[in-house]
Amino acid sequence: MKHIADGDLHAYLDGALELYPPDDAERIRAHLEVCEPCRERLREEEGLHNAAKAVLDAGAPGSVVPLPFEELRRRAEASRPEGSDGSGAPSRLRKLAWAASVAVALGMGWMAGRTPFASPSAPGLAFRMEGEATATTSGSTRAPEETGAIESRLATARDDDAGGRAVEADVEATREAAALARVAAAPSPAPMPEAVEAAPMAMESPRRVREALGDRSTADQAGAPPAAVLAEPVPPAVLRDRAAASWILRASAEEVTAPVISGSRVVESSDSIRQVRGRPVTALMQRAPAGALVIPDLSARSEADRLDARPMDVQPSPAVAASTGDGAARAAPEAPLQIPGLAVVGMDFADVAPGVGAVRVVQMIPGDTVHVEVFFGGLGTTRDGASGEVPERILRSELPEGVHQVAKALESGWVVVRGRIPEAGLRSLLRLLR
Amino acid sequence: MSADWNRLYRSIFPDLVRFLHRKVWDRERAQDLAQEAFVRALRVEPDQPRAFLFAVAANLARDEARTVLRRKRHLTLLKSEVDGRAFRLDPARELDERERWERVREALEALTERDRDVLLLWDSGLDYEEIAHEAGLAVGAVGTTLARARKRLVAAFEAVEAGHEAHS
Repeated sequence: MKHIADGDLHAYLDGALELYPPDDAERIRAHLEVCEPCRERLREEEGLHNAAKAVLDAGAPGSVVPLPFEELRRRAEASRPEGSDGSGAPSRLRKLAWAASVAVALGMGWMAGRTPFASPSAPGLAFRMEGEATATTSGSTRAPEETGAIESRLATARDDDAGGRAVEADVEATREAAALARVAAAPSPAPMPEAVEAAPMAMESPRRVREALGDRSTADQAGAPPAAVLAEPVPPAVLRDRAAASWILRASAEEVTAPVISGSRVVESSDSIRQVRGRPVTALMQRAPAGALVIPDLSARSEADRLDARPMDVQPSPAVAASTGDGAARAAPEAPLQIPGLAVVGMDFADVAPGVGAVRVVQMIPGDTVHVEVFFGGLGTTRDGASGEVPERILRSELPEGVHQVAKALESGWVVVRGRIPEAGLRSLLRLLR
Repeated sequence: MSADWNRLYRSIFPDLVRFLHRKVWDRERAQDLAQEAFVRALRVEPDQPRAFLFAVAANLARDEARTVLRRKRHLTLLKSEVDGRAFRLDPARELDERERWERVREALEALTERDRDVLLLWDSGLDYEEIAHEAGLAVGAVGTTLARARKRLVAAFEAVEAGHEAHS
């Protein structure tokens, strides 16, 4: 007489014999009634079954508090692309999370063949780019057949959600670029101070852009310090909100006037050329290395831009200095302008209080929807707070209801952390800054 | 349709969180990913929502493991201070809980990926047919896989416990 297999005993214990062919189920039940050794094994397996269950229970998360269903419904509707049946949206957004990528805006002057590295200094670069950009007006974008190919690849990738199939690496880069370009082109549902206006323009040679960055990447590998912006994958919590994803691109496009993401690999240049503050820019996708730094050089350039080309004492980062061959360029002191452990989802230059500007880095707690704004002033890059004291205007700021802030003077400059988090929490974040 | 999804949400969400928690070992993250899975499901409203949800959840957990920088200790500190949900436990209890999770995690890692997935799907309330569909197994092979997985899990957990006691 053939005894019952362990698997069938477990199916019996799990009440799964109903899913077996009726004859098989009946045979197992009948055998158990007459076979003492199998009943003994059944008792042993039941003990094992219960022990395994106890182990799994020990790893259970405890009680869970789900969001209200309507909130989920609202999120699903909000993230559904216009004109879509919904099947493409998850994949598109997920690809953004995969990308851990950022878009870098490059001035058209660079596109015209004069790389920014030829400029002796960063502000010179920014100003020259503005001037040249206005001279470039119209043209075509990516060829239709290439767009079709991307669409086809995207369609293939959509199946990935339900099936979990692996996606070929060479398809990945193109899809990422296309996805980010789409997000950029989509109208933002959230009001933004300065929207990026889609404006097809001439794109002389994406290849030249890639070549230029390729040269730069080589230099980076030779040991130049990273001068990057966004350091971590964007968490899905952020990507649920298309406005947030758009904002990531926009922030980069507004603030970055040179390929400052060194130490990172070029994924793909996109075909989108837009107007940002009247300046045509094109977007490049780069994969930023984890743990990359945000350098003061970037904020200085932003402020120069903001102040409409007013001369300032801008110091290029060592990476920029190395790439320009400007040996006399002074290296700005580098500082990690972010709270370690939190995802950077954007940065810009903003007023922390009336008349007090600062580098603003928006960071999120991975896996959550809580974000904080971290303002850095001083650090040798701004005119406010260079004394190392927190300006009184910041301390007296009127904050929106529910928003708290904590501030701290640094050796040079100051930092302010704001968010809808109790002060104790903000202080703990602040302590993480070295 | 909305009423059905509301009901599905209430019935499946805890199971989905339970499943994801043993993948990411972070309660809030598991809830977040479970919500994300539901958001995706609501966009496409699949014919087999339960299967779809667990498939998406498994993919999300896989992506998470691939892409998220692991700074658990650090993030634990952050969350315990800034996230109201984390204030439910006192520090001693929370420490005990995390140590317990760590042992279970170690034990689960002793299993093959397929055995682990099948076991976690079963523990999340899926029946043999659903597990077979999800794992690409014949229904008749699910019991065999579960028998093997349970045996290894219990043995691995006992080994982890023994090691822990030896250290303390």
